[in-house]
Parts: sequence; C-alpha cells; structure tokens
Amino acid sequence: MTPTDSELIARALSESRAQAFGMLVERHQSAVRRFLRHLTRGDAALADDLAQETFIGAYRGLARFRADSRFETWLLGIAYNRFRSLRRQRKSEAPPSGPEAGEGSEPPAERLTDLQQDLASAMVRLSEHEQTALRLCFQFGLSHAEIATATGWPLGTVKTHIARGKGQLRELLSVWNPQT
Amino acid sequence: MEPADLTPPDEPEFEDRLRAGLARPALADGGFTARVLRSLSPRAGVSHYRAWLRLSWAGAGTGFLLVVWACSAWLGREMAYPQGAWPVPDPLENAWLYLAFAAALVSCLIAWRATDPAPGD
Repeated sequence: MTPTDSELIARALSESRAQAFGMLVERHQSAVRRFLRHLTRGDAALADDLAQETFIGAYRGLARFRADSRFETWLLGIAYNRFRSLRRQRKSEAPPSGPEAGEGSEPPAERLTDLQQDLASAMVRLSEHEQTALRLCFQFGLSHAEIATATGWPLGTVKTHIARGKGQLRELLSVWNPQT
Repeated sequence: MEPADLTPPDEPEFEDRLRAGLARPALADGGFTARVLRSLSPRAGVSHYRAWLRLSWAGAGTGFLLVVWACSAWLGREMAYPQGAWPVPDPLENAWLYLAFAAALVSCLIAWRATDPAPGD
C-alpha cells in the first residue's frame, strides 16, 4: 500500500529520514518544478535549482509543517517564497521573457494541443499574479484558500486575481465560447 | 468577513477547458530526487551538526582554559612552596583539574562525532 504524505512526513521526522523524504520528493517534484518553471518563465535550470532549494528548505523545516494544509500546498508556498527572494535579489535584472510564461523552454517532446497553445498565448496577456493564481487553481488544483496560504495573499485578492484572469481569458478566447 | 466568491457559477465548461488547457503531463524525475538527496546527505541535520560543532569547540576551549588555570594554580603553589613542603592538598582543586581534563576529552569526542556523516546518510 502506498504510504500517505502524512505517514512519510512522520517517517521523515523519525528514523529513516532520507528514504522517506526521498519518496516525498519523488511524489511532489513534478508540481513544484512545473510551478517554478511558470514563475521563472520557462527557465528549467533555474526552476530546478529553486525546486532543489525548496525541498532542502522543506526538509529542514519539516517539523514546522502543520497538517492544516496539504503537503503540496506547503511546498508550493515555500517554492513561491524562494522565487520571491530570488527576484528581490535580482531586482535590477529584468526577468527573461518567453513566448508563454512557463512553457517557453519546454522540451520539444512536450507538444501542446491547439487548446493548450491558445491558452498559452492568451495567458501571457495576463498579469503575473493573475497567471499564478489561475495556474495554482486550475493546473495544480488548489482551492482559493490554499492559494492564499501558499502565496501569502489575502483570500479576497486571490479571488480577484482569479476572477479578473478568467474574465480576460474569456474575452481573449471568445472563440471557445461563442455565446459570450 | 470572508470576501464574496467572484466566480460566476454558470461557467463550469469554461473552467473545464481551462483545466484541460493548463494540464501538463507530470515531469519525469530525471534524477531530480537523487540530486536533492545528494545535496541533503552531507548536510543532513545541518543545524544540529553546526550546533554540536560549536558546542564542541566551546567545550574544548573551556576545557583548555580550565587546564591552563589548574596548571597555573599548581605552578603558583610550586613556587610558593619550592621545597615541596606543601600543605595538605586541596581535594577541590584536584577535582577541578580532573574536571578540566574530562571536559577537554568529552569535547574532543563530541567534535569527532560531529564530523561524522549524519545518521541515515
């Protein structure tokens, strides 16, 4: 039977630390790396470095994890904070721009469908916060409250970003919804 | 007061399309987990490691000072009583000397243990 996150966290805090934590990394690496690729606008190397820092930070702070949120939400929150710290350090440097935030340097093997390409093109027209909120909600399946926890934004701000982002996307992608 | 949910309830289809449009296959691990674990290995429990190391050095330093103090006390008494006509030895002073040596020894043992890889690595 596959152990749950809580069981692995308990194990990682007790005897077989590295082994149990390795299973947690393996389980959540994709979401964390994907999210960071979005934040770094497709810079896979930078995203993986930040993801590595995220997991190291999580490992050191594992005892502080409270089960009042999902483990993945907690990890995404750490990842977001790491990214913000990095951006503060590099304030003077403009972030690299790509054809679509998070997808610019996807490997060629990852072909996008027409739907995904349309959405990718439309997403770049949104503000960074709107993109982040929409991705956390619709790509990573976080609730509004979880997004607020992960990003540190007030719940009302999260809802506003999502509503505005969706409104803009609805206009940009009106072909999806001819009646609007 | 919790802000109102601004999401219109009548757009499940649009949201489904958003989900489909944003969905991506899971990223292959590609050695990422191993990389994270490698980076953890030598530093696992790094805060404990550093704390022990500092404590060890502090202990070693304290032990060394105690030894110096005990030796100087002994030397001072030696000079005060050059003919070896010492008074009855003060057991407390000897205890300090033994304690100093013990502290130095324990500090060395802790320092040696702290430089070992953390358990489980």
